[in-house]
Amino acid sequence: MARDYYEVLGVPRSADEKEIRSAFRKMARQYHPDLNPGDESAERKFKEINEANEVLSDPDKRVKYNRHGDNWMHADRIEAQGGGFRQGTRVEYGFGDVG
Amino acid sequence: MAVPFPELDGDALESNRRPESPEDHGFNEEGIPILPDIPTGAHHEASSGGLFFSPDDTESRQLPPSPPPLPENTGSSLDPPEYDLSSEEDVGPVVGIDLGTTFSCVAVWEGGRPCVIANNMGNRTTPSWASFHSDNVFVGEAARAKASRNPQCAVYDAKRVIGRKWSDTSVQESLRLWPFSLAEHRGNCAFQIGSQLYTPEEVSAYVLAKMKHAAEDYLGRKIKKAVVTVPAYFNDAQRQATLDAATIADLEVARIINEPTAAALAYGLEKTEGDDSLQTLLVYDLGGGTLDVTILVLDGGVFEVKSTSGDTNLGGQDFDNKLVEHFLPEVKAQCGVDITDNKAKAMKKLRDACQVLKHNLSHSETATIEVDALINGKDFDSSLSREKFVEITHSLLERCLKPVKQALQDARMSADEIDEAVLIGGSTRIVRVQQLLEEMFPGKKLSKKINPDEAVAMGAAIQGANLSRAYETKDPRLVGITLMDVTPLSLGIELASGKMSTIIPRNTTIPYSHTRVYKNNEDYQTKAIVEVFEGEEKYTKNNRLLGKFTLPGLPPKRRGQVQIPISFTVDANGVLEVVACVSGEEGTTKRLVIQKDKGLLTEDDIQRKAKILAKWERKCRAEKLN
Repeated sequence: MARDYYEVLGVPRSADEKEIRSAFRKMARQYHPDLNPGDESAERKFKEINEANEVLSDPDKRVKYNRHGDNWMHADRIEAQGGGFRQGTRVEYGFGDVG
Repeated sequence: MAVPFPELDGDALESNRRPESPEDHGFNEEGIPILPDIPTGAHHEASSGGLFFSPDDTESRQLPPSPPPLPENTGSSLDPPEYDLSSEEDVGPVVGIDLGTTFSCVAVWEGGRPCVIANNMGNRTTPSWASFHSDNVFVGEAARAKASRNPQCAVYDAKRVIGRKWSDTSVQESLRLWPFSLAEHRGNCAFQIGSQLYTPEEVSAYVLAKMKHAAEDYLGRKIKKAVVTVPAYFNDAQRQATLDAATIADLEVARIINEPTAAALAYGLEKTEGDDSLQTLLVYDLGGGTLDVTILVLDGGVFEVKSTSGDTNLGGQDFDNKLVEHFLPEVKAQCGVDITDNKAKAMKKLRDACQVLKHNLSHSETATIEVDALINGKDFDSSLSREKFVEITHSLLERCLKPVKQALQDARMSADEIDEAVLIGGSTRIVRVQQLLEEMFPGKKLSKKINPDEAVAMGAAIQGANLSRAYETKDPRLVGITLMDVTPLSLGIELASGKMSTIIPRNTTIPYSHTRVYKNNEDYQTKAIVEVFEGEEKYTKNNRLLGKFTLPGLPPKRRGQVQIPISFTVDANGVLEVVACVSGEEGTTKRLVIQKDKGLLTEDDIQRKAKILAKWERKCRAEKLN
């Protein structure tokens, strides 16, 4: 289970797009691998904030994430089926994301 | 952890969730998306297209016997290199090199700012030309000067063919207008001079070596490392070929960075001084051979690329070509000869004159073209208005805004959210191009503050200083400068249906890592072929194969019962690593680093050519040539 994206970026759930982006850049300035050569934990951290930013700074993805959490990516299908995933269904669609 | 993935290390597991919409995959109608189990070699065209991953594929990796080395008289009594190698730790400054289609430029961080270095002729840019003769190789101005007498010995435009297949339409279209001969070289392109072939990597290496010389002369020390720029829209093969060129020129590439990003860095460094406000820039880079458009946000020293788009085959040379084509019938009428018919000298004269005409049209409404003794002692005179120029180049001008629209769309922005459009590349001097951008961004100023010919090298020098730790202690102006670039093309694998399953979409900020889980396609299949592609087309046959490998060890189970997590990681250099394994099966992990193996030259080729270059460099130093 990955950490909550809002927590990763240190922003409240009510944060607007500008706050999210600015929080990301501030953290990027701290953790970008170029600024921390050879530091694997910084690189790991950067990838984490990068991923959180990719989802939260995109209004569509953010809505899905807010509603479905880790399963946000399958939101369309979930909604089409009128319900959530049963345990383990994710892979039956043939793909899933390792969380 | 939803799915076990024991073989992957912790890093990959931590950060591999990747946003992306399910619609991208066409899985819904397909049912189970899967890996194909296809007999090796019996696959579609792309896999026979000459990418070189499989270890037993060594045969196809060989280039034909490479051109004979430089004549042996390149000197046996050569002086040692002039510059001392300093201590091992002190690798010296990391210079920035803009390896351009028509011109190249080198800069270094010095005294708190990027500084462009003039070459031995006193010029701040050097023609990206090389001229091959029996006793020497000339580069830069010298090569271009040689071209007047021996046009068939001088080559340029290596950047337009580097990393490209011979069959590439853009290569085929340009063939007729080049004064030099280009030949097929195992499916790739090579310059042919007499009976010898020179790869574009080799030609670019001579240009890089010349730029390195200029920097060494200026700094009085050996240069080992450089940041080299490429068009943002260069694909992986073109980037790899550029890296190979640097290796041949004995330069370690500290980083390949995208040209518009480099320009933004140069521009932004001037701009951000004491100004921390957030700014959105669109960099429009129309050079000699390529158009790149990049949108990026500047926020207190952070340069975040939002999107990038381009046209790898649109530049000043195409405008020259249109002019040449326009004047050819007139030349025939005035001089009575068709000069496309093997008249390389006349073609070069006409092309040069067309270039001058094009430049003049950036200042005046009408310009004349005058060529003395174009062919058989006959002169050629004509003129052209700006209006007619726009008409002739109409098809090119139409392509000038397409990448701008694409970049805006990808960044989810409208034109009015762009604070400033920054113009770089010599071809942005074309008046109509500027007008098109003014119309696209009404009321916005087009910034021409930075020198369009030098901005890219300056940006590369800034990043060079930023990445070098041994040379200078961090310059205060560089503190906090962070460059975040994106992947220019989507990366993914092929499904059994032939569709592309994207794992990292284009314009994703790097470094990035993401894993998706796939399943077996057939009952009891025991191995899966993982084929890695880049591109935006729905079917992989229309995208570019980067590499492939076979994953053995699938337990014999029914269709869809075996899980195969595949993770893609792109590092800050844009290098892609693919890791796949069979879930729950020990020892099945396979790794593929999409780099090194897949350049068009073999390691042997590179080493051999590097030796030739090193010899040439010593000769140049000893005899004060080039």
